[in-house]
Amino acid sequence: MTKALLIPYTFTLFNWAAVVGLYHFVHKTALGDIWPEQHVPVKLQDLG
Amino acid sequence: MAQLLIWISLAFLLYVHVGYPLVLLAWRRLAPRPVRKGFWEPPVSILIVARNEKDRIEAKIANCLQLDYPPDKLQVVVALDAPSDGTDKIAWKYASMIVKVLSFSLHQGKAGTLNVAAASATGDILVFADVRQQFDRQALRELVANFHDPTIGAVSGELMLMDDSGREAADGVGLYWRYEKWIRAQEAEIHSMMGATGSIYAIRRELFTPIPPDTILDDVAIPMNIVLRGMRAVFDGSARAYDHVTASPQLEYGRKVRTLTGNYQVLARMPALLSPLHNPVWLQFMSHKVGRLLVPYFLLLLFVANLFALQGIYLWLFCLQGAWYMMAWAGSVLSLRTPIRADAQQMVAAGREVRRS
Repeated sequence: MTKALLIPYTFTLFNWAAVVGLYHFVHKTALGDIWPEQHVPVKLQDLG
Repeated sequence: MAQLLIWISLAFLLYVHVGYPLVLLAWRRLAPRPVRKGFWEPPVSILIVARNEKDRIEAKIANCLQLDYPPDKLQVVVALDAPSDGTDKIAWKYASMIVKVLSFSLHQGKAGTLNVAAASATGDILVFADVRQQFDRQALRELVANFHDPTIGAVSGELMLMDDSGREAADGVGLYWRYEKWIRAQEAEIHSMMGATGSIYAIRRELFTPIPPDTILDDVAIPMNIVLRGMRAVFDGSARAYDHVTASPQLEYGRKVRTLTGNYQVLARMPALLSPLHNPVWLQFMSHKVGRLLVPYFLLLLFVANLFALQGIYLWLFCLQGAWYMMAWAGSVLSLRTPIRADAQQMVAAGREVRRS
C-alpha cells in the first residue's frame, strides 16, 4: 500500500519541483552547492 | 472557456507524460539509428571531481583501478575542490603513474574544477564519474566501444538504483528513475538523449569545451554542446554504475530541484537548443526538457479551470484530480513515517543545515 501511494507522491513532488527550480534560478539562491561561493574563470590555454 | 482550458491543459499533460513516450516508441520502430559498437582501446581518462568525500574517495579510486581496461591506457584524474575534511590526504596516497591528483585550495565549484581536470587529462576519451557511485567492472569497455562509431560524440552509462534487497528499485523514486531512463534510451536510439547521467558518461576529448564555472548541470551542458555540433549523444545500458536508491522521495526532491534549476540555466545559456534550425533534436528537447518545466503550470491551470466546470465528465475529472492529490498526500504522510537508514538521515540533516544557512 505504501509503495503504491509513493508513486503519486513522487510524481506530484517532482512535477512541482520545476516551480521551486524557477524560483532558485531567478533569485540565484543557494541549495547546497548550486552556486559556487567564488567564480574563478578558467581558460584551458592558461593551464598548459 | 473553462472547458477549453481544461482540454488544452489535459492534452499538454498527456502529451508530456504519455504521448511523447509513444511518439518515441513509434519513431524508434520506423527510423532506428543503432550505434555501431566495436572493439576499441584508446587512452582513457576518468575524471573524478570531489570536495569533502573522505569516506568515499578511497573506494572510488580503488573501483577505477579495478576496471577491466589496460592500465597503460588508463588515467584517473582526481580533482579536489578545496577539501576541508582530509580527502586530499587520502587521495594523495594513491598518486601514481595512473592516478593524478589535483588539489585546489580555492573553492571554485564542481564545474570550474571539472574544467581544470579536463585540461590536465591526456586520454582520447574523457569519462566523467562521481565519487558516490561504483562502476561495473566492464563499464569502461562498454562506454568506449560506442566511440568506434564515428558519429558518436558522447555516451551515457546507466545508473542502477538498488534497493535494500539488492534489486533495482521499482517504487517511488526508483520507478520514476526507470521511466526517465526508458525515455533516454528511446531518444538515444533515434538520435540523442537530452542529457547524460552525471555519475557515468564519456565524451571524445576533442569535443570538450570548458563550461562556465557556475554551471549547475555539466551532464546536460556538455552533451548538448556536442549535439549542437552535429554529433550524437547516446545511452548505453550495458555500461553500469550502481548506487543505493534514496529512501524517501523527499530526500531526492532537493536533487530534483537542483536539476530543474539547472535546466532553466541551460535554456538561458544555450538558446540555440530552442531553435529547430540549430538543434537537431529540437522536438525531443522541447517535449522532454521544456515540457517538464511547464508541467506544474498546466497542472494548476487544469485544477483551477476544472473548478469552473463541475458537471458531467468534468466532475469526474475533478474527482480524479482530487483522488490523485489525496493519494499523493497520503504517500507523503506514510513516507515521513517510514524509518530511513542512517546515511539518509545524515542527508536530511545536511539539507536542514543548508536551508538554515
